[in-house]
Amino acid sequence: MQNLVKLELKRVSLKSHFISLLAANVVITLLSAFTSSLLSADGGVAVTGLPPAQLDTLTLATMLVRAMLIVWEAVLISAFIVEEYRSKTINLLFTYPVQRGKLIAVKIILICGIMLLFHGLSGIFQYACLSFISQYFPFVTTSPANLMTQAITALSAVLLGLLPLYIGMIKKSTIATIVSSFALAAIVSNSQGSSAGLMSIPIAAIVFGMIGAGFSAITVRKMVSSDLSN
Amino acid sequence: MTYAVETSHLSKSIDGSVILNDVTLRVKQGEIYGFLGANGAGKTSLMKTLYHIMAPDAGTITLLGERVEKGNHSVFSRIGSIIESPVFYQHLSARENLELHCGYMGAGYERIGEMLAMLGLSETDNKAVGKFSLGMKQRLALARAFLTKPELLILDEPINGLDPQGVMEVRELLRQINREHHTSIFISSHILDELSKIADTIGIIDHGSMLAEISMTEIAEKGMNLETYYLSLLGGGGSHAKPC
Repeated sequence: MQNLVKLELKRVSLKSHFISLLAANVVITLLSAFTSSLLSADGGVAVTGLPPAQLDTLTLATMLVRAMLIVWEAVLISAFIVEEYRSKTINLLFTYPVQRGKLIAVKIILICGIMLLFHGLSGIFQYACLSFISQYFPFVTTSPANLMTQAITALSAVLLGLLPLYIGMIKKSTIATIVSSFALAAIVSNSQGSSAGLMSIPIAAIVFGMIGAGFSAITVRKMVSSDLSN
Repeated sequence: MTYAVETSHLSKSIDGSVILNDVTLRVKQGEIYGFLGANGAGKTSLMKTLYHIMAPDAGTITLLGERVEKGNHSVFSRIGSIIESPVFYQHLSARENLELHCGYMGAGYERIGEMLAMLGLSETDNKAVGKFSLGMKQRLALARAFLTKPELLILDEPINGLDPQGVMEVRELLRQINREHHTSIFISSHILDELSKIADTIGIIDHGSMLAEISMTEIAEKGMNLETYYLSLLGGGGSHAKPC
């Protein structure tokens, strides 16, 4: 199993992903702080004339990070799985003395592991940066984080993020995989359903996570048992 | 007797269309077996079925004495192959692609340089494979197939895309591997001339069914060459697509 993970990482380099993750987090921190500055009412009407912000800056940043990582997961799914089918290198993989189920399972576990790490790193980054900025700019606000809730939400988001695999594998399309993740992120990570998006409600997050896990299980089963006839 | 490849009454249909129909063939250990058929006759489908890339509807497959079934793939470590077309990770170099292959096959990297040199790819081993010509990819696919010194080579149209010089070199290389390592070679082609120059035994498939399995010596004893024998089987060619 460990050897298979190493081989996957040899094929798909994560170095650029880590650099991009850092850049994306910086952008989200600045965007969240900027949004908070526009919507801060300071006891009256916000400078934009919009209703005062219901969210503290950290919650807003967390919601944006979650949406970003759902799309990011689709990019990883494309790189590790869908692209193998599109370029037919999966035919080659299936000629190796490794069971199909194991090959696919390693890819899924690796994607989930990387995404959990990204959720963790992003959470720490946002908390640290916004806490620091809030000392100088009062409109940047943070609220104490419940670690258990954060962990459940992150795990559920990672499982839900596997849903684009199901859609992408219908036509073996990386575009379908990534576009579907945008739709998914828009649905579960906007502040219409609740103040910080549906994924911020633990029960809803768990249900969404189970849906993602269920669809990915169906997809994996298909990948393991179906013929590669063309 | 243990055969390198043995299929028994192998059948496969896709969406109601019969791809393989009761195919029984035997490749003896140490021989070069030419698998001949027109385009679409079922050559690639049979090769995919050997690896369970397409699972058979009926029949059995035995490779190097081990029955190939769903979930039992250990024998694949003793086989080298090119199935359908040479596929690679395009963004990786030739060397990196071969290292990945070794990793999955559980082999060391020590023969990579030697194989790249043997196939005339030494100068290109750090270039991304996506920039290779079809002929170079075909050579690299051969290097990958031979890399782990397999006991059996399953090669699906391995000379496609090669120039005449390349075809001759590959032919000589296959002979050498067969002679020096007693590697069994199961090679498909639609090129009659090429198979007649290299194969000990010929299997002929048409529309998913085996028409004949015969040694080149037996064909010669009939006073025929491979082309005239093939045409006699098809009744002069008639409605069938003819190999080159």
